[in-house]
Amino acid sequence: MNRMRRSTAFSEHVTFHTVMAKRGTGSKLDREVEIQFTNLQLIGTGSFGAVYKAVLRENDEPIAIKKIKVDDRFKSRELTIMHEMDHPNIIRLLYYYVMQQENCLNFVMEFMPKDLAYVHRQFAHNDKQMPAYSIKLYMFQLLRGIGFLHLHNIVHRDIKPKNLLVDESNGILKICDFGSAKRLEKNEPNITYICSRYYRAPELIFGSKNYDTSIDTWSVGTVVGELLHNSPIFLADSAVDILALQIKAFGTPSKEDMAKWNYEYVHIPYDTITGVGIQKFIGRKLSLSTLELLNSLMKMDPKLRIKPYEALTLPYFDDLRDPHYKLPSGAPIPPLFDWLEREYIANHEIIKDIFPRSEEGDKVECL
Amino acid sequence: MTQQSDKDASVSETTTPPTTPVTVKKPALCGSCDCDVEKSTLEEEAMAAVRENAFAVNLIGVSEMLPRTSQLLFINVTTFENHTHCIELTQKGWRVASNRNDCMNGDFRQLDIHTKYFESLHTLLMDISPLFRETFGSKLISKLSELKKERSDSDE
Repeated sequence: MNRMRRSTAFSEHVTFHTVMAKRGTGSKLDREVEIQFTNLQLIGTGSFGAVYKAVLRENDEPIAIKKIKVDDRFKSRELTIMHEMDHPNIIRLLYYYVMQQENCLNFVMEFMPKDLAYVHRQFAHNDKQMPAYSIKLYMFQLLRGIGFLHLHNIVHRDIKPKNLLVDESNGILKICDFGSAKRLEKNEPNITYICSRYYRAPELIFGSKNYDTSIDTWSVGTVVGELLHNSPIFLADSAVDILALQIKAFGTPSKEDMAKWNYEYVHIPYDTITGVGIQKFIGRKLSLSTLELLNSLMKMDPKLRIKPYEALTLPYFDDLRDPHYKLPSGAPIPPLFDWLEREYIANHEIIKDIFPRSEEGDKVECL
Repeated sequence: MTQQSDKDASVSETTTPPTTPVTVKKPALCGSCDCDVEKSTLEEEAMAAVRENAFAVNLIGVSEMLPRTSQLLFINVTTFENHTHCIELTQKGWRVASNRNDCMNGDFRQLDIHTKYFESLHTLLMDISPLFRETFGSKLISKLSELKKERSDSDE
């Protein structure tokens, strides 16, 4: 194991860092390979660690390296999940390696130039709306990626704009940061992160231990709402205030749900409140298809929330089904309908409702 | 540190100094690793959680006496029941470390409490403090009453 050497600003020669690493996403092999990278620079501090940008020597591809400290006894669930989730809308783990001397686990990932929070902020700061086509394109991919996780019974638990990486030049979105993700069979707790509060489903705010993958679906709804509204739609300082806003918009949860969310101890003798509806709550005129999407994603009752792949059938995404649809630059949109075998098997009944209407009829191409 | 002005006199009786010697030492930063470059996400999370839940406990704050790193920190809580707790926060979650402030080691006769990890400070407090649950519920009722009044006012 070669110790990593830090590049210096005054070096006249390019410094290569050489490490022995294991292959990442989709790999079955467990043996180590040698990788080299250069141009290492710190670009941010993420959850529990630092994030660097670098260039992979073998192909000159940019990479992101996320470095986290690990307790010797703590197996990285994030690593296990990233290793398995091979999908075009989930960030790809290329390699990983451990610096034994420092107890640091390093994730070498494909590099994406920006996150959605940054991109959206550029519009919001200038009091402009993010273009409708961008929102549809990104949210389609987000729902597809989330759907893939849920097929494997994995819940991300930290869906927010900052954890959605985008490339504006080709319209691609990828979900990242699986530090909070977990498979639901295991009853292991994990920490929710500081910026997640506005994106929390009501059952989480009530303290439920019995939540399921639909908490991610709620978060997607809050992200869509935020892109349309230019700020988080449930913006408040405390959990109670956020919950009150959710109830103002959608109405009180049922007593059955509250009991299910481990809230039997306190009897809340309030009358039921009917929500004002998301359009009045946001205070912005929305199209019928947008309303349908938002209302489908954000149900107070988790069982009634639409499933991610099913959401892709909604009229909101009809523009994307046009085979001639292009980015404003004239470039084609990224492949949205190249279903993986697992996706096709799980969704064969609704796939035809998601596919573009081609001129040759309902031709279905799959693996 | 958040503090109630009408502090109960019995609080001082239940808050006892730790009997276990606590050695507070600065953890060495990694030489070539920047994990501790800034205030850690863990610390930010802890402080945000403290602010968010302060309304429904007597006292709450990050311990100044116990170790604080990007991997580990402790939070002292005195509930409305006037029970003291020291809560550990790590990547595994939130855990009741002991029933005394500024003390890392719990009572071995209550292993079930000290081996249970929670996903948030909120769910931990909901579990250990009935008055936390009641206060949360009461505040929610109050908020919803405001909503109803607001609605009926606008209907006129």
